[in-house]
Amino acid sequence: MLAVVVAHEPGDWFVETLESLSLQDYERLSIAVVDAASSGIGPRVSEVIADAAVIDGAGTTGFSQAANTVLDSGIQADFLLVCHDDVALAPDAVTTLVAEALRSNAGIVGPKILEWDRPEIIQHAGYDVDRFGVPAERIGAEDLDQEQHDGVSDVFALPSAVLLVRWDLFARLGGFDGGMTFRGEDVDLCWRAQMAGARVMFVGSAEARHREALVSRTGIDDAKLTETRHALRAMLVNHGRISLTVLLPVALLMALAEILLDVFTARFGRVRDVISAWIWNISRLDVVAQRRKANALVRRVRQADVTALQYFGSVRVVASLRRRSSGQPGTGPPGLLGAAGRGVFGGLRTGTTRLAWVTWIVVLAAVLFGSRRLLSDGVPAVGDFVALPETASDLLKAWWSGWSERNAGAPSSNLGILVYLGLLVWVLDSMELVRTLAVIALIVAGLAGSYRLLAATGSRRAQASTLVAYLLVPLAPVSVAGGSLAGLVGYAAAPWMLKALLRASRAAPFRQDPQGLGGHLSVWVSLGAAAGLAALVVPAAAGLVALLAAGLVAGSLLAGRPEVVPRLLAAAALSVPVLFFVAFPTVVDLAASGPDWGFVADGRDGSAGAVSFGEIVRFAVSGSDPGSLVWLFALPMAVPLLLGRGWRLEQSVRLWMVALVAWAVALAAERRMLPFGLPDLNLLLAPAAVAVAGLCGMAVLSIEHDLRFSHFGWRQALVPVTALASLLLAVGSIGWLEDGRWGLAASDHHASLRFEAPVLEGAYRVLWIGAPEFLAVEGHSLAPGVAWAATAGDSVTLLDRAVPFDRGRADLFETVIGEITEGRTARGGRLLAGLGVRYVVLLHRLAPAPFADESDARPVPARLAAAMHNQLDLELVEGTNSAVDMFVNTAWVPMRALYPPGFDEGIEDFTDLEARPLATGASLFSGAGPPWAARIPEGAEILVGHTPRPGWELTAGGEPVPRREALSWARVYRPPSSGEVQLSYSAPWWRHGGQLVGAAAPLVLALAWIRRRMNQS
Amino acid sequence: MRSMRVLAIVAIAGLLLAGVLVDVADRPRSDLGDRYTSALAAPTAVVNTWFCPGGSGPSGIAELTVQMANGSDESRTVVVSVLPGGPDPQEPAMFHMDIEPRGRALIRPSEAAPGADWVGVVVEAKGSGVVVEQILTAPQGGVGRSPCLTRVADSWVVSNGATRSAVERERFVVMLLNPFPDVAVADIELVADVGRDSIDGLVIPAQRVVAVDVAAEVTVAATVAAFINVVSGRVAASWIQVADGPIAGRGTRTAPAVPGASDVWHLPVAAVGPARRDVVAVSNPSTTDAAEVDLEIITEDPSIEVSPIEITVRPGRTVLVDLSQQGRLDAIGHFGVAVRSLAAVPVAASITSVTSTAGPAGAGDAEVAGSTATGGADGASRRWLVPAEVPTSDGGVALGGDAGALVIANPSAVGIAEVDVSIDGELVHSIEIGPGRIRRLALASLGSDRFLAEVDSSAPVVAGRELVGLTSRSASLGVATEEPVPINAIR
Repeated sequence: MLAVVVAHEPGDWFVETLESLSLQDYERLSIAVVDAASSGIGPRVSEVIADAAVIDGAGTTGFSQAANTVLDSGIQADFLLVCHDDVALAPDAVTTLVAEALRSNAGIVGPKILEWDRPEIIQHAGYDVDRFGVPAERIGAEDLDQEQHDGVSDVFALPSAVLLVRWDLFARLGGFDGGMTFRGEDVDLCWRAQMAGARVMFVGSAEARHREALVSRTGIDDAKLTETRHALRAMLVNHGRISLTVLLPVALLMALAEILLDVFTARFGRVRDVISAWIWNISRLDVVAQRRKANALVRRVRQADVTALQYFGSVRVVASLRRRSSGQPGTGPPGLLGAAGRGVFGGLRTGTTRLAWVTWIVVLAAVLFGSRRLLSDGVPAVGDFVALPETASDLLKAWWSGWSERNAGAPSSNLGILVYLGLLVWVLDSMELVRTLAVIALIVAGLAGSYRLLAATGSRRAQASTLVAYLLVPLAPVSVAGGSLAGLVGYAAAPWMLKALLRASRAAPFRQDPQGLGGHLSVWVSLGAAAGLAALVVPAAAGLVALLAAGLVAGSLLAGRPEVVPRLLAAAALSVPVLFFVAFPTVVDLAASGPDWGFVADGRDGSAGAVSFGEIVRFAVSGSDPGSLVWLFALPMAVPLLLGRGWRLEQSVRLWMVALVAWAVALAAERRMLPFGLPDLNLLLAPAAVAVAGLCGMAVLSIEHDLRFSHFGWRQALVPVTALASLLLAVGSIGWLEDGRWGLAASDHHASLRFEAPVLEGAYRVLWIGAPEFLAVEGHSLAPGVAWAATAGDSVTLLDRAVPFDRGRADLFETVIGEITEGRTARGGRLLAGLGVRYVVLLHRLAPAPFADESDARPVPARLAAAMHNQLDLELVEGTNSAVDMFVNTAWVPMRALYPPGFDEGIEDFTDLEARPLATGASLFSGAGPPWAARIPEGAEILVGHTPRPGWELTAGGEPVPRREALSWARVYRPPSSGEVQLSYSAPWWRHGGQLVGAAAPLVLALAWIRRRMNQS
Repeated sequence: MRSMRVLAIVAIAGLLLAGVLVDVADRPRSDLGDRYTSALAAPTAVVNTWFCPGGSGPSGIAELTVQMANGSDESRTVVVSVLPGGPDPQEPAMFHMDIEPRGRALIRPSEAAPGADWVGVVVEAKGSGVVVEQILTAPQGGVGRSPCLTRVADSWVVSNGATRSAVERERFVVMLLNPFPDVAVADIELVADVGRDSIDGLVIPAQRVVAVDVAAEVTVAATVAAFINVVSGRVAASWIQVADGPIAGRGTRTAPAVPGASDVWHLPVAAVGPARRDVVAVSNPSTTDAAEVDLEIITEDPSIEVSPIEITVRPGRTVLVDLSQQGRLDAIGHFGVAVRSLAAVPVAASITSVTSTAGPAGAGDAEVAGSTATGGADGASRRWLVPAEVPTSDGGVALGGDAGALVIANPSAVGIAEVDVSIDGELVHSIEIGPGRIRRLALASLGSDRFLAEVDSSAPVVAGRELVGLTSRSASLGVATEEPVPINAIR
């Protein structure tokens, strides 16, 4: 038996390495040390082991060549024990390994390798290897040594840190591949040993400690590079021709995918490593050929039999995750995938994590099952779930244009998220799929947030309970059924916001962030990012931070922890800059629009609603009643209050107050206690939903930790009662899954409304009036429970939800509607014609009958409807649907039209249109735009019915055409001659700049987050 | 820890209880409530639209003439749309007119639609102060006139008509005008003393008028009420009653139909006398509830107290109360009637009056015969315009006799109304009207020829008029020019 230690300028620990060898109870152990760096370590060796041989490794490069020098040293032995210079073996390790090698007739055996400084943590227990030569650890991260791996098992490969190999086998294989300097040589050796018919076995009862700090010793972090190129070398060398033909293209594709991923995550160093690995191998194809020939000589086992021992298929990423799950700094750079791998594979070994995984699988299955009809049929344009433009380019063009056609038109930065939606649409090539995935993604994002909410408690049971509870809280289905995008965004964002605020509070157990500014900054950025991302879709959603913070502050005071309050307030305040950055320039537009609260209140004016406190508490706020079983949440919510001790009780009080504050605000909104309107109730209730779910998680924690301190009595009875309540809740929630669309109507109003195509007869607007929840875009309050909005063209898309820079001339709509409602005109159509309104639609229900029940109707008030019916120039369209009243304006004129000069003579004010209606002009510029181009005759005037704003320009022959005001708000251009004219809008440079910043902000934030996660892991 | 737990539980329970208590309290009204819409003609907008359901062409039973009076000091432009009706209707005609300050304009719509059997008119007047009336002249005698409507509705009630064509030569026509660009469809239920009938799915084409000859549906009925339910669209409705018989008398009367029902109606023009027969018609549109109704007599003299007339109106029925048969009303002269439903079952009320020149022996005959019809007023207003006429002596009518009157009623039970009456902007009368009283002002004392009486009151009142022409009589409410308030809300 020869033990060969490959040493390369070892540190002080080397003494311990040598001592561990000298103390082996195996009697016939010879020791040789290869001085790979020719650094003259002989005296250090002889000081510990006097009879140890020292082999000069001068001229060798890397571990493999140094180890192979033993073959030329003339030393003979039955077994060869290969060791790094930073391992320390247990005294019986060699004996155990030799005994098992003999007993099992193994070619290579290896011990259980433990952390050098923390021997209770297992570092390696053999490798699994995929067909691409990439090894994966068989253990998880921070795996405690509890003798769970002390058996003997066949493995595909063993780490070269310590391995015992039969001398004859080692010689026949020619030792390690000398081309593999560090990393991967062990996999290659073991792979070839398997080809030669030798068993490779892990012997858990033998132990060794390993420093594994090569990068810190060499100062060169080439782990990824060497791993990748040596894995590729092993694959090229050791596979048969047929399997290599199949696997090589796959490996190439995987490499390209990895490059793309690394580019996306800004890991450009890793991109270089992958490319270098391929170049390195391609440049050494002659060596590959030679080694393949050598392999052919030693092969004793069919290729298929060897391959069968490897992972099936393309498991490179998974294997990579598992390999990284050990967290070995020396074997490769830790990263996001590694962190994920540790979470996945490390966690699966424990019972609670298995429970969490099963829970996740069940929850996701429930979500997918509940969404099956949405996935197959798409999401109808009900409520806020508006359609997307027809193509990705339309989406991006509209985003860039900086103009919103909503109401009378106004400059707008448009939502930065349009860029990402556009890209997604471009990739998936399906608007419907993107819309459906967006809805489902919001639900899953919320669920993920709820699962992470209590991660700091360390209880996966609590996390799983929170997850299930959040699924059972009816906010998500009620929001989907009500077409409430705000509700879904709140559902998605609230858990992440609450988690960030809890971290900011630094109240137990949320103290994992480092002390100091860095830790605080991280929390503030997280909070601001969550708020900003939510605000990208629904600006009012950012306000949830204030709502959650208010609840936590109240809860902290009630729990007697006032010291937490400043931290919470500081976090809420200091997250604002990040929010501004992410939601830029939407926030700028909102700020610039002045005191207009309308975009936050979404058409609500603070008047009383019909929802009772009981319905608020049950989340029955969107017409769809989740039933009385929701009251059963009271049981698990009460458990932590009754059983909890210490921080569990404190946090329960905080969560209770979060729920109460949300319910109170919702009640105040419904009871007309506030002088202003508040957003959608579904959004306001999102904090309550996550608090309810969090309390369910806290209930599990209380039962886990606190129940045992209680005397036997009624407290113990809480457990079965709560379990029964939870079961009933789960059973009761099955109803939501029944229709496969979360109760969402199967059809939308557009299916029953018949709009003429604008390109046929001219551009027009549609005036929508109905409950704020029924409108597809943010409305303006008209009367209690009634709002209005105007859109251009025959469809309403996400572009219409852009936040305008200002209200433009929306006031004209309100003037006209007021005139009609108050009965001051019977010719409202003429006034509306001045705004280009061709259709007026009164929405009485969220969706057309029979998809929306009459019981869920919120009809437009009879007085308003009657006033519309009383207009002499609004013709009711018969045969639409009982859920709507649709009128055609018989006095309509196109928004953009050609007129003879002086067509507006005598119309000094907009209201003059009632007595002096406009004649119908020739339609112009009716297609998609801006810009538009058309040929016009001599001496004509062009009426353009938009809010006049700088940036609009009509050019003829490249020269701007003078303009004048008409109808007291619109513009009229009079080109000097006939010919081609172009009408265009150009946003100012600063707006485009703001749009770019807004679009880039989420990407920057995502990259920063990824990098941080990588650095953490 | 224990104290914190108790405190938290108490606080949470308290907050939940507070939420429940807040919710239990009365919920503020959140709906855009149905604003009161009076049955009165009430032009209060910048551009006022008048709907005259109309009458016949020159060869029909009652030719339509429209009178537009401008009570303001500025010229007014009106847009007149003539909507034809009949089996071979023409296209609607439209023309503009200017009306001089304090001036009048009379048009014969049939001239704009010469081939139409029936014509209706929509007048759009820019600015205030214009009053539009429809005047129906029957070849067999009599002139009926009433202000046109300023609203359309989807339900109308016509309380009292008759179809005894053989003996009384009565014709009863309900006029329906659809001013909108889409078709209206109406169901009409006719409830007569001889039975019930209905007309279902009557189509009123867009921008057309339709005349429903009730005699063709219900023959030989002494009383017919029509309940009109517009199932699609909205219409304006009025009715024409022509008669020439021994009981019904001779004359033509027209009045707007009543758009819906109310708890209280005021009929300011009523009287009993040897040659006069006033009949109050009270209809109950409810299909389920009977209405207990009091007819309160409102006199000019505060010393006269008359106990109310109590009637019960069964669901879907009309009760006629012949005031001349009520002995308690003898010798009290002119009075008003307040029709009050006691059990919150809304009713519709109107009054017809037939005056003959040949009264019972010994009684004084009237100087001018005729029949009138007046719809009730369910609202009151502070400002009224009342078109009036006083025939000259050249016409053979004694000025000091029965020359018509402006009638003003104060529906308040407690407040006194101080009323100014002006003619052409000049104050001619200032009077006080006690609570629950009426005042009659002889038109001859207010002005001569044709004029617009302006009534300006300190409290909401109801103003009407009774015109006595050379050969006919008519009565109607005035035109409220300030937003009316419901009478049942006046204390």
